[in-house]
Amino acid sequence: MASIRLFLTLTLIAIIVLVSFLSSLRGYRQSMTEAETLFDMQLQEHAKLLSLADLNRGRVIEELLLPRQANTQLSTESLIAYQVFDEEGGLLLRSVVAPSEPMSPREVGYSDRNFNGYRWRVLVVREANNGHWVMVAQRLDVRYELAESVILEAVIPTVLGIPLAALLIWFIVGYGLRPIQQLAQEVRSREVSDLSPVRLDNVPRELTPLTVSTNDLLRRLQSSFSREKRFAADAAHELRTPISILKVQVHNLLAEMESPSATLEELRQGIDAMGHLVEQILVLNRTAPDQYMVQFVPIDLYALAQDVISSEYEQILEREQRFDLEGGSAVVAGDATALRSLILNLIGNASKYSPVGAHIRMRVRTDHEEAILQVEDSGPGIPESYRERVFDRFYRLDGDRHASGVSGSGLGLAIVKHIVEMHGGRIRLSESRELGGLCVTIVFKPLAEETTKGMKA
Amino acid sequence: MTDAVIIVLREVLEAMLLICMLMASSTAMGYRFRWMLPALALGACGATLYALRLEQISLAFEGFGQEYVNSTLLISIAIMLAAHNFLAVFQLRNLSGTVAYGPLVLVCIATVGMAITREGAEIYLYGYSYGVLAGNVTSIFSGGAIGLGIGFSMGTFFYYGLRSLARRQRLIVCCAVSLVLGASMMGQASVYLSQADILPYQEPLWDSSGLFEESSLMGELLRAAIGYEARPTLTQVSLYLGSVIVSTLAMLAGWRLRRAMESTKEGEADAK
Repeated sequence: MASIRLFLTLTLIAIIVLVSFLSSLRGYRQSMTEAETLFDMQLQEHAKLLSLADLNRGRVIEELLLPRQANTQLSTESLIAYQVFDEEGGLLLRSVVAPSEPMSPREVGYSDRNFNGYRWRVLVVREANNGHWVMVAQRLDVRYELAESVILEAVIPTVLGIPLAALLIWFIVGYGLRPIQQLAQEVRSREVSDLSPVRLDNVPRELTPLTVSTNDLLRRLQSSFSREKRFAADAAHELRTPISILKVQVHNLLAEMESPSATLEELRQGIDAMGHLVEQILVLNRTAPDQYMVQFVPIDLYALAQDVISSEYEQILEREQRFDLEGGSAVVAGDATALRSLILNLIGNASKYSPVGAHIRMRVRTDHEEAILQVEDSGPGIPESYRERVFDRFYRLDGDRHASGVSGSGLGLAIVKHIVEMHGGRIRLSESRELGGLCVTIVFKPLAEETTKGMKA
Repeated sequence: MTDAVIIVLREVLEAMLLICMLMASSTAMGYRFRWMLPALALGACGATLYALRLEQISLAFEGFGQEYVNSTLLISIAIMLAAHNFLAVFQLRNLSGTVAYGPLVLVCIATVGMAITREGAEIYLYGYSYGVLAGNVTSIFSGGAIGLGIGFSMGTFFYYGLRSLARRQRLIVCCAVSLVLGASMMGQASVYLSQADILPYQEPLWDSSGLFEESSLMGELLRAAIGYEARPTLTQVSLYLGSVIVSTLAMLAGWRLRRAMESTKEGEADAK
């Protein structure tokens, strides 16, 4: 079923049409039969009147008029033709439209006859007192037309009412289905991370099981996500101490050996990578919007960037890369630790995935009260089709076979996105026009708005 | 008014059965009915043109023009319905695959367009001659509206009835309906061909008027649904059965072609 509304509207209209039209049809046929009986009775009345009349041989008189509605189109055609014959068959009286010859054989009762180019309903009556034959006739087509015009007055409103009924059904069904649309809208308009129960006012009885099931599902999802997050955070936290011990022991081992083997050096690098991964998992967990205790203060992004760069400059120099910091002061309402982590990840990524001797540029500026942080590099960039996926946790371009050959956790950009969302900002990845590599642009909310909000919180 | 109800109902019901069957069949083949609008437009244009040019058409072919056009339309619809059955069975063989949309659209547009041309022209002519010219506008149009309403309602139930079936069952029922409708079209075409003296006059094989008179409501409904004739001739019966056989062969061909294609694919996969 493509649409419940269309299905209900069409089938309801179909039922109404079938029931009302078939009833009308039956009523029409029944009424036509009744009308026939009425017309026959009318002929009988006329015959009775004529049999009582004072008759002179061969008289031709004006027709008796049928009682008719003022608005009918019937005029002289609705007249009744009649003849009165004596016992021997001599014509005593006839109407203008009646022929001189008998309209019917002298057989008492009703019959259908043809004369004057039409089909007529003829009643033959024999008067018992004087033996006169009275013949009264009426055109069948006139009777039919007259009866039908009256009966159609009752049928036409039913036919004309159907489009109106269809329109009403369409709107009423739409109104009745509104709670489903509201429920869908409520679920659709949620943030990805919002797993709170769906709340609707006046939920219809039919939708209650669906709402209850949806809320139950959301509750189970929420608890499952929380368990998963707690587990990752706890595991990462518990791993920190053994990794630190390992680091110290490897360092000592390297110091003790006169000529350290390449395997030992690889082991050291592996332990460092593991330590970095654990730290990143912890940062990711801490900066998750539902985990972070919001305590925003005004922070100058430019000053913070200078601070981070000075601490990371060693890595940049090692790779013989050129680093520029441009722009000026741009104050945002934020969390210093989180924003430090954000800048650290952006610079780290740019340096790590750009080749030796590459050019990296960071710009900090304010535009329409919005603070903008932009990091560009001359590295290989990220193809457009992957720019959404790189924000997924543990996603690395080309997996472990990354073209740069650099080991990474696949969490850097996920952390960056978390922090941006936490600050109500937006992030966009594009190709750097000037340097040719990746360009990461982060736009933060205006300070005034965010500070007010933070203060309220 | 009753005559108008019966005549319009017969024409509308015939068209609705055809349209609803094709709609249900399209959904079973995994497509929507984007063909509907062009098909209705084609049918409306065809019906108007046919009705307006009726005099010229009637006078053509030594006065048998109308019979020629009607029988051509009916035979073409029967052929299209056989083509539909070919496509439907092609799909039925492998429900997970899809039939090419182009041929299906072509079949649907042609079938519905031609059916509406014929039925629409008949309704138009009946309404014009018995309603407008005879001065019975209210009676004929009220009857026509009632016939249209009943035909539309029956079509709606027929469509949703088919939609309630699972895809496989729906396709099977659609094939069966298409088979009967195609045969009914061929049966009607043979009547026109007899009237045009292309087929020789024959004595009827049987007379079932006592059971269902052709002009009665039930007779007209049966005529619309299965091509009922109270006094069919040998040629009519032969063409009716011939259409059933051709449609069945088309289905068989569809089934075999799909099987052959699947075998080829499997062979290629094995070779790889």
